[in-house]
Amino acid sequence: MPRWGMVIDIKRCIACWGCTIACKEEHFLPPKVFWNRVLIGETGKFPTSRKLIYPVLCNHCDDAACVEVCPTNATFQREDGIVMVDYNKCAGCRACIVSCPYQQRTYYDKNIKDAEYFPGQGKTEFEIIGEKLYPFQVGTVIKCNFCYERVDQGIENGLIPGIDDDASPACVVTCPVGARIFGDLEDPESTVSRLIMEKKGKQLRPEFGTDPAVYYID
Amino acid sequence: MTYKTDEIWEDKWINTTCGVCYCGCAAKVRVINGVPVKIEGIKESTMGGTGAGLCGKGVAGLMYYHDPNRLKKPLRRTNPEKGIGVDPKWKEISWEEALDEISTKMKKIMDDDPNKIIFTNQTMRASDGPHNQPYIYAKAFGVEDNGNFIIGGGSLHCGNAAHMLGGLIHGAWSIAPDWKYTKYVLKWGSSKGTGSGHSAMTNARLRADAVRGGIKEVVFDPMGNFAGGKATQWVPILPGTDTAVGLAIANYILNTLKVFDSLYIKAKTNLVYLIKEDGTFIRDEKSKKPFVYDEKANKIKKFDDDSIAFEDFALEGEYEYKGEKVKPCFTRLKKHLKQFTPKWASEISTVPVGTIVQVAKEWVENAQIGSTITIEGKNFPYRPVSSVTFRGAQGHSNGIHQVAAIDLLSQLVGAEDVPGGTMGWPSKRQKYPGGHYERLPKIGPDGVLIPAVFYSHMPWPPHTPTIPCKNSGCVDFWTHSTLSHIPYVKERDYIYEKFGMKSRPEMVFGIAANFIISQSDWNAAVDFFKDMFVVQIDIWSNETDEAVADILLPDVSYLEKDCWSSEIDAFFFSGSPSYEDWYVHMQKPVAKPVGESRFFMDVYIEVAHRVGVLDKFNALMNDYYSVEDEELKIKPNEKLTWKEIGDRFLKWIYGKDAEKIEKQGFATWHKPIEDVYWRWHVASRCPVYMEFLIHDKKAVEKILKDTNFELDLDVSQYTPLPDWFWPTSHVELNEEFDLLAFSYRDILHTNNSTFQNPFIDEVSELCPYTFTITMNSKLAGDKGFKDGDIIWIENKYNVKEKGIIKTMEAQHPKVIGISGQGGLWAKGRPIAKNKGSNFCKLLPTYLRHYDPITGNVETSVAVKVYKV
Repeated sequence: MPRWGMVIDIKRCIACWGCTIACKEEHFLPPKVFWNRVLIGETGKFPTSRKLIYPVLCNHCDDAACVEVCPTNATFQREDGIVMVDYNKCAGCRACIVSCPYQQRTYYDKNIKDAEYFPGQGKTEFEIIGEKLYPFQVGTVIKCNFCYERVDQGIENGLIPGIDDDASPACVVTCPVGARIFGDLEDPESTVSRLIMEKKGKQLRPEFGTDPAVYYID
Repeated sequence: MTYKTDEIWEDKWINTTCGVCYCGCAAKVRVINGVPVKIEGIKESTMGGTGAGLCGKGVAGLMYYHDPNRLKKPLRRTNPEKGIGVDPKWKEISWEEALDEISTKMKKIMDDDPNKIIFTNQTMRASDGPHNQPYIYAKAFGVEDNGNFIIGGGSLHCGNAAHMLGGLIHGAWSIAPDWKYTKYVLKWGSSKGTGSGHSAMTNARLRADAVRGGIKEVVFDPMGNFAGGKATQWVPILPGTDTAVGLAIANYILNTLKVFDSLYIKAKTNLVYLIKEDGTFIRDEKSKKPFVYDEKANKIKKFDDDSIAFEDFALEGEYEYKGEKVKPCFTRLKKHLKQFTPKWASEISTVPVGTIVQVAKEWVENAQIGSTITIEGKNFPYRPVSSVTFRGAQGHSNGIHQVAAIDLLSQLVGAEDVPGGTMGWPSKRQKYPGGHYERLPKIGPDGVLIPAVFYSHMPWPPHTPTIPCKNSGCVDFWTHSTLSHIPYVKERDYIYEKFGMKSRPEMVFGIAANFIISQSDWNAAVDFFKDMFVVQIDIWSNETDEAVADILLPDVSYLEKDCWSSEIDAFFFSGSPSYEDWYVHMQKPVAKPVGESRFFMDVYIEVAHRVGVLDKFNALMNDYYSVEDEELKIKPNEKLTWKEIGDRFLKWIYGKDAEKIEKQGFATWHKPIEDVYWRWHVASRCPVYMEFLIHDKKAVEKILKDTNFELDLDVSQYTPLPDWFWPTSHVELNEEFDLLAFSYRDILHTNNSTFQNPFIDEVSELCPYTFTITMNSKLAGDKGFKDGDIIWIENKYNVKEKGIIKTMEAQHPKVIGISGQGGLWAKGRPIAKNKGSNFCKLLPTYLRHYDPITGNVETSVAVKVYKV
């Protein structure tokens, strides 16, 4: 069984936000909801300070805090490592939001559902079709799902996640500088495994002990 | 939680060209049930990012279609008062009414003087498509040159000096490092490869591979954000002082290290031409060709005399010609550079002496002078160093010297259009196999390249400044300005009077331009344009429309556009500068036009028809694409739509593959390697020594004297070698106005159109710098400011702008940074309203604030800051 993971190459990333916006389109996310973000800051002092750029998303942790705290088993981990939320089981208690050390979860409430991209001007065709094609449920928690639909559909069509676009997450496909690489962490020959090994891939805040499936190289 | 596939009755991808910035990356749009829902790049194409990659702005372009604020019907101003913040009281009118009013007015003006009509180009593609067609169109009205154009979106911040030198040196609009083979890159106020500049994502893709391959990037920039934040080494520098550092590095290379590519300089520059004491070339009387000295034959010969081997061109020495002492320009350059010591440059720029020396040494070490590389079985000189600039460094009142000094470094080591060096976008494009249309550069006077295609006007051969001036841009006098600054200059009436400019504009026919707020002092612009009949074709009502437009016509966005021509001429601007096959993309409609919107080219054609100049336009179009097939030519009296013209011209351009190409939305064919690394395959020379400026200076001085011209115009800048001139912003610094404000391109924004995109807007809010005013942390502390404080920035001319402080370590402690063109207020663009701050309004706009040669506005400004 594969273990899907991602490598983000900070050296390549130019913080264009392509991942963030592509994700919003892929999942018809409402205004101000992000499953992919880019954290921007700096470290050090003038004139030797360095800009910091960290694209972040759900880490699909091996030892996911959100899975552990979910009282209804709505948040669960598939065998291939993807952490998902079953909206039909989610009671909206939001324990997962509190427990996620990476702040990657959003409570989908009525305000979010009603929000418009052009406030006060009604919903666009994009928003209307999105609600129909990719519905969320008010009172549940939503987050990045590693584009599992693309992964599953791709595999079904004989494609390989991480190699074929139609079997890979939207953010990976959209990255204009090849800074996001998707693949099987279990396969030592996969590009992700090789990069983690060769470039000493690091997980974000490993001290939380959640064992993220997203690695960063620089 | 999954797609409801049973709801989907149509799901298709349509290939088109991104229209969010001027780069024109390959893009494809997913349309489900007739609704555009997603945008990606096109994997097969070299035009754009890695694989199907596209930047955030490009992906967000979807909202240009979905925006409910899009214009749906023509609008007419009913409030006769014009100005900033004045409600135009738009009234919907029919297309017929609008077109009738426009063509009647235009006809009347035409009967008097066509030069009284101003056209605009555009640098944002929310509405863009064809590039050179607006110039062709203006010509049909009898407007002869670029003096009747005002710039669309990028304003004069953009590239008058960069484009002029790009044209003269590379026969290209723009320059970039040869990422594939370079090892060492110097960037001066440029974000090429980190999200901005031409072919932005193509360069970003190539750069990403290069940095993974281990290149070193040294970035001279007032802030360490986009280019600087990604650099191997960020060097904080004061705005407008790059010339000093460039000249000091050149001096150190030539006079201390004494290492340079003499064969290149002998073979590929005009530094071998012989000059008299007054600096002008000695020329053959009959052919007017400059002379050189053949060291082997001990003889003065014409520069292109085949009997001289490259190594025998004299670089130094003193010779005699008709009793006068003459020397190669190189001798003068060497002597000229001696004054620019690293210590001197350091005092001006604040760049440490050690850094200047370090860069000079690394530059020469990495240049590998004398080395060659074999690619595809062909041998080329190999110079893996590149020095590039764009908007930041060149946008100053000393702009031409900034760009020339930065270019000089590549010249000294022969790193121009060879593997690893500084590249122009290819200066030639051969025809598609089986097709007809090609663009090949020519060799002009003095061996200088005449670009194959250029916007606005050809930079070579140069024209001597003359008066009277025929148009509002006064380009008869400012012959080197790509697009003229004069319409924005406060003393324009004085200039018109002195220079005999009688065609005071009465009308603007603009395309999605926001020229009131994107250039300099807003009020100076309103003063000029408010008395004209202003027609704009736009997708929204922007600030310029609300301030001064009389009629506003709804354009289609790029997502509804059928534009066969969008990339065909733009290869020297939008193609891949690297050794990668040609990809030429079209814009294909992914949805029906919003409301009654019409593609501006079709509106152009309709107006030309009504005004009676369509025949002329048709003939110019046949001529521009050199259509020889009678069947495919547009006939006199024929009124075709832009698409119908394309149906014919594509057959001319692509031959029998036209239909296939039209269907797939792009064409691709092989780019020969010699067309990329063309420097040693074309017998041209770089005009490093800009002798023409000596002649220009004489002409300018005479005109100024004859007309008793009293404004401050620094004629000393008309000098053939790059020299140091203080930018006006520095001159205006004092104890009260103690900081320099500058602007920079944020990766998320293209001028101001992107401010109205809600995807981009919400992401801009996530970025700490995009909508804020940045200030060095220590400086902020000293001034008593902290993050989130609201401050005023005020210039010496009582113009002020408000903004929110964000402190940054990576910023020069003498500068204030503002990204782009925020601070917007148009009712027609509610998402954009009140976001960020507007930098442009702070720029004073007296003639002295412009580069006297190219017309670049000084894009830094002395300011004071205080809490609101």
